[in-house]
This record gives sequence, C-alpha cells and structure tokens, in this order.
Amino acid sequence: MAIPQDTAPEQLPDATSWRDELADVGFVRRLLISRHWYGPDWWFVAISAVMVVGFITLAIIPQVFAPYPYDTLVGPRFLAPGARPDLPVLVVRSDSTAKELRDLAAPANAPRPTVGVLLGVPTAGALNQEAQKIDEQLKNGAEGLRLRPRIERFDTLKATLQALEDGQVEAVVVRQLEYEQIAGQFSGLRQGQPITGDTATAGGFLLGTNEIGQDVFSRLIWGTRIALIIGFSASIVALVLGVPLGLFAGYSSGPVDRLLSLVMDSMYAFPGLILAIAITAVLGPSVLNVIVAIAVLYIPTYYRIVRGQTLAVKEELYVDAARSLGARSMEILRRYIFPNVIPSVAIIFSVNIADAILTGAGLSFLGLGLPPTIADWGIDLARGQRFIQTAWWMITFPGLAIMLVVLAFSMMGEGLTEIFNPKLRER
Amino acid sequence: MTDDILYSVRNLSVDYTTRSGTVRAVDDVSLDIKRGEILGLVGESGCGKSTLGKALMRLHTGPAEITAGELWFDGRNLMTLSDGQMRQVRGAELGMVFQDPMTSLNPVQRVIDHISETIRTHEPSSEHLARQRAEELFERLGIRSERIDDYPHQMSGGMRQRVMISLALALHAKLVIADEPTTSLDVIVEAKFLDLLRELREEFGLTILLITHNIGVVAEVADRVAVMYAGHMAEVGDVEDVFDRPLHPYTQGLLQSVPNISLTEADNLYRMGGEPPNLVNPPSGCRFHPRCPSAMPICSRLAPHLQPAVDEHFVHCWLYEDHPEKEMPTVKAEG
Repeated sequence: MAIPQDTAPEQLPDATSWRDELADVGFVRRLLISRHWYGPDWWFVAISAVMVVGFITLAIIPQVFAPYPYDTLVGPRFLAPGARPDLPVLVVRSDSTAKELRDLAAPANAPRPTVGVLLGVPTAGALNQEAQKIDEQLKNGAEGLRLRPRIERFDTLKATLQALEDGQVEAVVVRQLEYEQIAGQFSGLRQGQPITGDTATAGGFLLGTNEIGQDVFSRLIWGTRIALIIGFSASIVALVLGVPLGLFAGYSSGPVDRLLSLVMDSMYAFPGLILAIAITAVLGPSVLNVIVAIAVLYIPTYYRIVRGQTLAVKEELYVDAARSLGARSMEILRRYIFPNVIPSVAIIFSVNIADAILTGAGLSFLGLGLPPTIADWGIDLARGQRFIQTAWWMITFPGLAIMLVVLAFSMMGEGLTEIFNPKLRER
Repeated sequence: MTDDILYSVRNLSVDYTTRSGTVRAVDDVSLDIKRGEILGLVGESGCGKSTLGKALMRLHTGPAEITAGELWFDGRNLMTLSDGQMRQVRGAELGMVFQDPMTSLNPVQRVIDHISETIRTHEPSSEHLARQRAEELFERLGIRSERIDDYPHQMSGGMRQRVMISLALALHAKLVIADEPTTSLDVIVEAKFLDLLRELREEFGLTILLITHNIGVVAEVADRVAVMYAGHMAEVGDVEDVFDRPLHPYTQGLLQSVPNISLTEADNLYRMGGEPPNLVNPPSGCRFHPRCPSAMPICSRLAPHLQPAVDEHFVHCWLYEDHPEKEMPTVKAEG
C-alpha cells in the first residue's frame, strides 16, 4: 500500500523555501514586510507612532521637559509667549562696584545707602521686600553687615536716573524694559542684576504665563500625564468589561444577549458627554471617578463590536469543527472565538483612547471631574476662556495639545486598521 | 440490533424554526451504518444530508433541533446522553470532516495545537506525547512532520483536509462523518484523498459516512449508498445494486443526470422536471410525486415506507409496496 507522498507541485522544497523563511521571521520583520507599507499610508502610521511615543515619554517624565513645576507662581501674570518680564533692576553709576542689591550692604554703624525709585510703581515694594530678606541673612553673618536702604521717591523715570547720575542717591531700582528704552541718555550709568525672582525667568516664558503667573508650557507638559492616565485607564476598563460581555452575549445569543444588548444600546443612545457629566456629577470630583465615568461611556462600543464579531465567528466552520471534536464552550470561546475577535478590538482601543482623552478634557473644561489642583488641559482651557481676548496663549496651547494627542492616537488606530485589517476600513 | 451495525438511526426528525414556518429538513429517517463500511449519502443540495450528518453528532444549535428519533451508536442511545457525556463521545468516538478545508481550521492556531488540544480534551496526556502522536499521524497521512508547526493558511487544501482527518484519527474515532470532504478540492487531490480514505478504512477499521452530491465519488469508494430526497430516505442499498438497477424513480433520474464523457452532442443530458419541493410546505404523500414520471393516484395521498425490495436493497416508493387502494400491480424487482 503506497503512502501518499507530499509531492504536489506547490509543496516542493524549492518552491516553498521562501515561504518557510517568511514564516520564520519575527513579528517586527513581518510587520515591516507587510505589503501595506508600500502603499501611500506608511508615513501616516510612522508620524502617528512618533507622536504617540513622544506623548507617552512626556507623560512618564514631565519633570525632564518642563522648566518649572506646574503649580508654582514663577513669573508675572499674563506674560505673552516669548515676552520678557519687566523685572525691577538695580542701576548704579559706572564707577560703582555694586552688581546686585546685596552689594549695597554696609557695616551697621555706617550711614544707610539711599536708593531711588519711581513714584507709583511697585518697584519700591519689591525693593523693601528683597532688602529685608537679605538683611535677615546678613544680620547673623560674621561681617556685621546690614542692608537697610533709605528709599527716596522721584516723579519721573528721568528724574530718578538724573538723581543717580548727580550722586543724590547711591543706586536706583527701576523697571528693566523702561530703563533700557532711555538708557542711552545716561552714559554714566550701568545696569546691574534684577533684584527679584529667579534670574532664569528673565528671558521670558516659551508659551507665556497664565492669570496667576504659572508657566503655560510647564502646565502643558505636566498635563500630558493626566490626559494619558485618563485615556488609557478608561479605555482599558471599558475593554476589560466590554469584551467579555460582548463575547458572552454573542456566543450565548439567548435572552441574556437580548437583555444585555438592550442595556448597552440604551447607554449608546445617550449623548456621550451628557452621560459622563451625569456620572461625575453624582460621584464627585476625582481622577478615579472621571475614569469610571468615561469607561462606562465606552463599554457599549466594545460590547457591540465584539458581539457582532462573535456572532460572525461563531458560524465559522472551524467552530463547528472544534465542537465536533468535543471542545467545551469555554474552550471554544477562549481558543477559537477570542483570538479571532481581538484584532478589531485592538484597533478600536487606539481610537478609543483618543476619544476618552477628548471626553476627559471636556469634563474638566466644564469644571466637573478633576480637582482643580491637577495640571490638566481641560482645566487650563476653562481658566483661559475668561481671558481669551487679552491672553490668547492661555487657551490656544492647551487646545492644540488636546488636538495633537487625539490626532496621534486616532491616526495610529486608523493606520493599524489599514495594516492589519483592510476589511475594517469603513469603520 | 445485530452487532455488525455500528450506528443505527431510528425515525430521526430534525426541524428548523424559520420565519416562514417550521422546516422539517430530516423527516422520519432510519438508517443503519455497518461496521467498517463506507456509506455514501447522496442527494440534491438542500435535501437534508448535511443536516442528517450533523444530527448524528448532535451538533445542532440555534434554529435546528432534533425533534424525534433515536441514535443508537455502539450500543448507546446518544439522545439520552447529557451534553457533557456527548462531548466525550464527539472527537473520541465520532469524528467529522467538513466541507471546506479552507475554513474548518482555526486560522490563529498552529496545526499541532489543533491536534494536541483534541487529544488532551479527551485523555490526560502530556504536550510532548501529544506532539509525538501528531507527528506519527502526519507521517502516516503523508504530510512532512516539520509542517506540524505551520498555520492553516500555510497549507494547501488537500493538506488541510488531511489535517482534518488526522484530528478525527487522533483518538481513533470509530465513525468519521465526512461532509462533502472533496467538494473544494481539484480532481487529482480528490482522487488521492479518496484513496487515503479507503486505506484508512482498512488500516484502522474505520467506518465512514461520506456525504456528497458527487455520484462519481460514491461509485468510486462507497460500499453502500443511501439516496435522500427532500428529507426522506429514498433508496438504500449496495452501490452496485443501486447504481446498476436503481428502483426509485428519483434515483433513476439522478443517475441519468450525471454528465458522461461518452455523451455525444446529439444526446441531451437528462433533466429532471420540476424543482425540489419547498420544505416549509412539502407535497402530500410521497414528496417526490409532483416530479415523478410514474406517479400514481395513491402517491399524492399517502407516504410509502422504506421497505426492502430485494434483500438489502431498501426503497421508499409505492411502486414496490402493496396497498389496498393501489390500482396498479406492485412491481417485483428482479434479484
């Protein structure tokens, strides 16, 4: 009795060697040689992947990228992007050795230095404050130096500077930008250091400051973290609940299926944001509650997709074949239906993250959900909208950030759809 | 019930519940499958042969339901088993090979996983032992054993069909129900596959129920043949008896409709009149009577019984059955 040999033309070793090799390459290489990459869309996925990786990096280590903490008042209020803060600066005569306020300190028994300021601007207050601070430090020092300047006020900036040039006062404290405009007229004077604040902020802020003097750029970077936490957690919770429900309903397709579908469809019928608002309003503001509210919102999305796919896969011949071999229902669900359903879940997951971030931002824009101490784009938007006519940067940049993150995740989802599952292109 | 009968179907009925009404796809069918034989089950599309095949394994779900009958398999009535007991029978004692080998394997599982999973569902066995057995089986079925780690899409149709067979053989099933196993294969692969079936029958003492609409395949490999029409068993007998001397008018028409290479242009292929009946509303009496060339008045009123006309040659037709109301004399088939 002849044993049938494996010699059909397409199974000859030579003809199949390249196929065997193809089967042996790893996942990454197979992804790269997927023919969809040669289509016009490869850059689409590449750009979105770079953006997504970038945002995830920002979310993990914001302190590396953000110049300031998100909740510290680092500069003047409403400073436009790139504009320099108008710091009070010390100006002395060219022959003086003083560079900063501390250099004016004198021994306790010597006469107190006279410092001139302009009347009606807050430089005098800043001067007093800083001088007191330095004096406190010096008091305990071994040199016995004190800094207790006598403050003399002048009516105009010119008069102030003239008094300095005339030797009437030892130094003046004026606003830096105002001084620089007329500095040319006083050749005998020299600008020292700003007397207040971190000298690092003297160069200005990349994206400006908000209404209480926080750095918009730093808040933007710190806000990535909460946006991604909400996006990922809500999507994962929705997936973990929605997928098993969909599998179960699709597979059993009895009264349980009908009941579950009714519940899910009625949830789906709600306008998304309204439902989330209602849930957060009941639960109260916290990160966890926002995640719960958004997850509830997206459970039906997973449920419907998975249920539909399960209904289709259930009718496949290989499921019948598995049953004809005595497989249990749980086994069929786990080994036959679930792996054939999961690719479409992976794709909606990515788009879903984008959606969840958007909804989260919407919630905190409305003042629901997140506690106001958290750096969040939605909260920044809400704060910025009151000043939209004077401080456009407060609302523009958080809005752009939301748009970019949502775009990145949606693009990646769409791109993955194209690569893994051309049939899903319509969705 | 004699011992040489492996599977005995008694008065089996399967109903489909549809929107337009209940369809009785298999109606009061009785059939014996003998140990070690290849029984061909032929009939038109939609006559209920695949439904019967699935019913033998109690695989029906959803709209289909077995409403009556007994399924005696190897001394047990399968209808009385619980779902759990039935699962133990499936795969271990009853195997099934499906119509389309392209879709009857899970695309995301390696071939070896199919086999070892089947083995381990029924027997406590280690991964290694299951693999060894799968390799032996593959060797036997003519698939290089290194292909065992392939995914189904990397295999050709003929190889996949052999994998399906190996799934049935992995646990030494006594009866393999092959539902149109060669429909999607080309003739060369088909011939090889049929050879394989015959060899396996001899080697493993396998009993095979071969469901097909291809008369040629049945004539080639089967020992006995059962002809189905509209949910009824029309004729059952030895292949030679039935194909040489068909008794039922439907079988006669069916055999004349098979294209033949010796047919000249002058001869027209026989075309049976009418259409297969709508089973929501089947014809009264014998279901074949509207299309039957030798229909009698009684045919439209009463259904005949499946009776032996000659020895083991059963037929379901008034031509061969007596009844007081019958006007024409009963035909006696020559033995």
